Amino acid sequence: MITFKNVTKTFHLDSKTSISPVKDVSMDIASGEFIIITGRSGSGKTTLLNLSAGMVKPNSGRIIIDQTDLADMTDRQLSTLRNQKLGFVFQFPSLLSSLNVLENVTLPGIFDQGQNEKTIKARGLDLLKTMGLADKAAVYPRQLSAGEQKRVVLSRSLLNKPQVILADEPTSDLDEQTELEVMNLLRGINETGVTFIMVTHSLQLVPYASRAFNMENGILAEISRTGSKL
Amino acid sequence: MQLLKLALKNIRGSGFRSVAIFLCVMGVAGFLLATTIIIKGAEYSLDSGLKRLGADILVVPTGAENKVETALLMGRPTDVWMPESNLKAISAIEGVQSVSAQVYLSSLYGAACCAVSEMFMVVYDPATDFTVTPWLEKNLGRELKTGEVIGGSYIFVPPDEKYVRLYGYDMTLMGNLTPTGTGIDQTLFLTMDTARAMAASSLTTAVQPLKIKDGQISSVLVKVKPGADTHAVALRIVRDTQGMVPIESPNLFGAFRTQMNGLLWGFFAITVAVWALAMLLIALIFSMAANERRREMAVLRAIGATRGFIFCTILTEAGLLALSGAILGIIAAAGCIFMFKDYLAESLRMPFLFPSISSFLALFLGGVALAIVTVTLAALLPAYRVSHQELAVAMRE
Repeated sequence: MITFKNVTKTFHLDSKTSISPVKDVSMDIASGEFIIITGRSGSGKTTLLNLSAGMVKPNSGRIIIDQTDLADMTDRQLSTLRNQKLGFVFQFPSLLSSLNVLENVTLPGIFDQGQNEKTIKARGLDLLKTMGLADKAAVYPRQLSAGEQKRVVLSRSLLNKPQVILADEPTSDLDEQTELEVMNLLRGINETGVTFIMVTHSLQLVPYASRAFNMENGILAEISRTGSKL
Repeated sequence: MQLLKLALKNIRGSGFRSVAIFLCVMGVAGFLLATTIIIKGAEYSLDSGLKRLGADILVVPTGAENKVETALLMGRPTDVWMPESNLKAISAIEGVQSVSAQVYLSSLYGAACCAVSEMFMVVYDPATDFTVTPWLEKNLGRELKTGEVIGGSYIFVPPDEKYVRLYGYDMTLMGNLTPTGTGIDQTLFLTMDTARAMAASSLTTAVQPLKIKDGQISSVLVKVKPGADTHAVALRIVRDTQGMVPIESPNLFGAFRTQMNGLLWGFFAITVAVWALAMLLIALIFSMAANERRREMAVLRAIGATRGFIFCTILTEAGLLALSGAILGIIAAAGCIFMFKDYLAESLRMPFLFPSISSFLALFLGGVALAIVTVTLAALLPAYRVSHQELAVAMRE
């Protein structure tokens, strides 16, 4: 489904200094997998996630999604890919404060010309119901708890029925109980066939993964399969 | 939810920024329209005044040009005289089609016998007149009788009175001419018979008698023959007569037009400066807002928005703010000018007539279009930058 072939990303900070958060990474991710990538802050996890979505271009190597090399895609095609095949859960609060919960959830629908407003709205309400947020549809993000906000973001990422969810530290600012709830939700979604690539600094979440990797200084190493250590 | 809806939501969500841009556009659009309406209003007024006079050339005693122009322009009475024989001399000049004499009179200042102080009165000759006679034919269907007058648009019968009383002589106001915005609106038009009746009455009914100089007139209105060169006729008047100055119609109010042109350029310079400053300010606000919203826009890009969508969202926000600000600014400015037009004309010492509906609509649409173009231009660079930003970098900020 997603293939990384010798991917390297280097950022040039100035004419003399540069850093490479991703170094010669190769990885094959099959459809329906739950991938967890752990690592310290600054180890390159988020950059790897951004590379997966074509939001950053690698300096070398290839990233292939469904037999299509991201390097061959135009900016518009990449936007369509992100809208149709990928879903995002960000580390930071990513809901638009000027929109209510339902409007936030249905936001990806406005970029998909094939859908009508009624269908999008019905799908949004359905997702909110699944997440236990049906009564929060008209509420604004600032009125939600951190856990509720994560669930809204998750609903938004699922609106266009993506094949892959890219989750960047989805439980970083949640308490233990809410973290458990969110992880169970993610696992439930994964069981419907959606592929997950999740980045986290918490090793405690590794058991949720079908495969787990550790990233250090830009180098990726597999550490477990189906929740057990290699 | 479409682009327009999202833009509206964003505008509502960024209260301070939106209000700042809205007020900026409103102020500048209002100022621009106000200055244009004042200048256009003055031009329109002058044109209406000239049309009302109906003459190609106005002949006045030498040295009295400014006095007559001020009287016609601002309605301030003047006292100028020349021999009536001049009328015959002018009518004999080649290219002249018709001539009509006028006598300028004034009501008394602060006298109980006069309902209005220092009112400018124009005595015309019904046999030759082409200033008010066409209006009389159309609206009254007959000439004025002795004791009847017509007035400019501002002339009215005092409340609880039936007549206009001047020099203690009661006259019936038969109607009002259409507004011109010039002194003609404050002028009373009467025949020589009525003027003489008033003068006769004033000997016993007025604080001071009305004096009409026998064999004297104040000005001669000249119409040239069709196809004749007005300037050539004016030159012949200068060459063949003495003690008179011809003022060609387009040159009438020349001093005022020069003064107005100066004012126009002054207004224009101020407007351009204000507009440029406003554009800079709006560009700065948009730039700051774009910086603040880098992450928000990056999120939109991450969930599928194209660069074009981001670009259009910001420009739509700019366009909507410009549209609403300009409409409100223009309506507010037009409303204020309409309400205070008399005060404005008086304080700026210029004639003023509110432009016609079609002219106003053209100004309105022009103002709105200019505001939209300007604000969109101001938002262009920030919109381009935020739509082409590095997503990963923006999301890390």
